[in-house]
Amino acid sequence: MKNAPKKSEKNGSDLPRAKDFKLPKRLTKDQKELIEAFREAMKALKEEEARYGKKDYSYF
Amino acid sequence: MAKKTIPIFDTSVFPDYVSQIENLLLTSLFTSIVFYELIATSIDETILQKYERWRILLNKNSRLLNPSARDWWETSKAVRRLYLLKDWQPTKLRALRNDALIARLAVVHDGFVVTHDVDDFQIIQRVMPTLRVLSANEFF
Repeated sequence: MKNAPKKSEKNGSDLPRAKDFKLPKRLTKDQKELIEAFREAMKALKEEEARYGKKDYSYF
Repeated sequence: MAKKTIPIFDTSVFPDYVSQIENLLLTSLFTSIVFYELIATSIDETILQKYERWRILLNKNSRLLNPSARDWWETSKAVRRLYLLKDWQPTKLRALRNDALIARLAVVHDGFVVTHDVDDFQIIQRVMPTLRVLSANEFF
């Protein structure tokens, strides 16, 4: 079929993995702030899950 | 060598892979749909400010994707095609709406979806054949 993905594309074996990506060595102020904001948001999410239980997003 | 396409995270991967995602903050894309699901399931008021700050800074760093009118239109058509296949209950299709939007954004932005719910995205692949999906276990 035209434009149909190859088998390797379908099962994801051609896709990069997390280890293939790196943060730049030098970060701008905005980038540093983004990382800090992400840490704080995820810390709050973990605390909420510890308090109230694991979230279930499957019904959205 | 693996092709450099962009990871786009489904909400299900948060907060299991925080340290790994932190290293990917500047090379991956985040959708406003994930924020919808995080906010809709949040309980404490204080967490909203933290999500908002994260969202604003993602936007400032050009890492945030919002579905356009065209994305809503094409996603609706994709879910309609699933509806017409009659292989799933309407309640299941309703539950796939947000995933279908994430899928659409991944297709349009040359990305791939990283998720714990591969089965759901495989349903969407039936009507979005160019969608690429990888399980969180494999990706991280």
